[in-house]
Amino acid sequence: MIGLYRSGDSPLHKLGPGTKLLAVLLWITVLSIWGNNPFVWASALSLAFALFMVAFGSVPLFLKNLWTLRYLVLIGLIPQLIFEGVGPAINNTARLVAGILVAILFSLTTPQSKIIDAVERAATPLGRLGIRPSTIGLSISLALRAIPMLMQFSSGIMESQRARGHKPSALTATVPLLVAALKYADDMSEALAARGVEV
Amino acid sequence: MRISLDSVSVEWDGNVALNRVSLDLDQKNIAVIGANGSGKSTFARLLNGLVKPTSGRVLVGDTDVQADPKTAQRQAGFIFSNPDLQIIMPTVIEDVEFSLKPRKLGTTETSALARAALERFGIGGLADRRAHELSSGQKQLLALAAVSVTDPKLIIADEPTALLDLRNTQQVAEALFGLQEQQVVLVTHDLSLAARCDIAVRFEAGQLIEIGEPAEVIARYRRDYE
Ligand SMILES: Nc1ncnc2c1ncn2[C@@H]1O[C@H](COP(=O)(O)OP(=O)(O)O)[C@@H](O)[C@H]1O
Ligand SMILES: [Mg+2]
Repeated sequence: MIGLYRSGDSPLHKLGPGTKLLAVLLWITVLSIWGNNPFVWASALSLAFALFMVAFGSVPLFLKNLWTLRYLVLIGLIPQLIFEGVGPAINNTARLVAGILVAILFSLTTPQSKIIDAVERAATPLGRLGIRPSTIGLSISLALRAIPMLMQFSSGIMESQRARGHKPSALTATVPLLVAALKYADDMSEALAARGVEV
Repeated sequence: MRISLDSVSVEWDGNVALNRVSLDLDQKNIAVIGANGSGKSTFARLLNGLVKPTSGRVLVGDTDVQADPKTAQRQAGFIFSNPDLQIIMPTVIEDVEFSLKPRKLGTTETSALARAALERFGIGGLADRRAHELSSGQKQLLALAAVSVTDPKLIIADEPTALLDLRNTQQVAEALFGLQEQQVVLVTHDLSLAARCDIAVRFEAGQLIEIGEPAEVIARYRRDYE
């Protein structure tokens, strides 16, 4: 979900990342304690919608993000419908959606580098334990950066298997993917060294 | 800056990648050519300390690269062939800002410097785009912006246009040859780019076999393979 930043100059964009992060945590806490109450989750959903409008003023963008949650909703809803009945199933799913929407809004309005700065600041006390906050921040950046790369590698590998007349399978793709990932790690560490990053 | 190698060898478990190379260069744009595996990348990497000489000495400016790798790294920016490997942050502007992070400047100053660097390479309009969604040529321009924003004195580009089409190659070449402040070491198989440099260096099987006027070095290189 992180890395979806969309630029803008709404008040939500301007709010400090630390403040926003705290607000998101508070939001999730409130929902997990009282979110079963239809009044609470209905207000939360409305407020989430209102915040989206403040940030982007775009109903389609709100709906698009809501739509990305469809599988999550299905996966959560079905077992609850079976085991807990309609009422609790709806309550639980609605509060989950209200929570996630605001988390998405956080990543939509905060550039990743700002999120990482906030994490690094929060991790400053760890410096006394010998863990460099900048290393933590860099690790997060690199992990997030690796996701699209690995996806690109695996689709490339499957494609080349198909091109050679094989049915692509997770099993046969594993070894080449591992090799590609190790090579990527190697190249990346060289690129970091070339840019003067100390780890 | 003066780049000088004094009897430099590089070996990988007994295999010789560079064999007692000595040279002196101070031209603005320096082309490095030669067959695959001839030692071009090894030479390029020596200049910013990514590779250590097995023997001999590498001087770039006043810096002994092996003795002071930090300065060597700081004074030289490096561009790789594969632009995907150089992008670290998700958006274009953040990736340039990332280079400035060690300087601990204020947010406004950092972002102003980053934006100016993007403008210099004609990609100011892409500042907020996701970096991995750019075209390969735009990614290389981003890499150039990210590397030059810290004002290195030298830019080393190892086959920066290898993965680019003609148009993107032109753009990246214009950007490289347009650099005002930096000396450029350009490793390339694109002989028309090599021809535009002030001097050409040719390696073959780990040996430095020729340094001189690009047109002449290139002509002999072609002849040897025809
Ligand atoms: N990290 C390495 N480990 C082992 N051998 C290497 C390494 N890097 C380069 N070589 C070898 O050194 C020689 C020169 O390589 P390189 O400088 O990359 O050539 P070029 O860039 O001209 O294609 C090649 O034979 C290559 O296999
Ligand atoms: Mg090479």
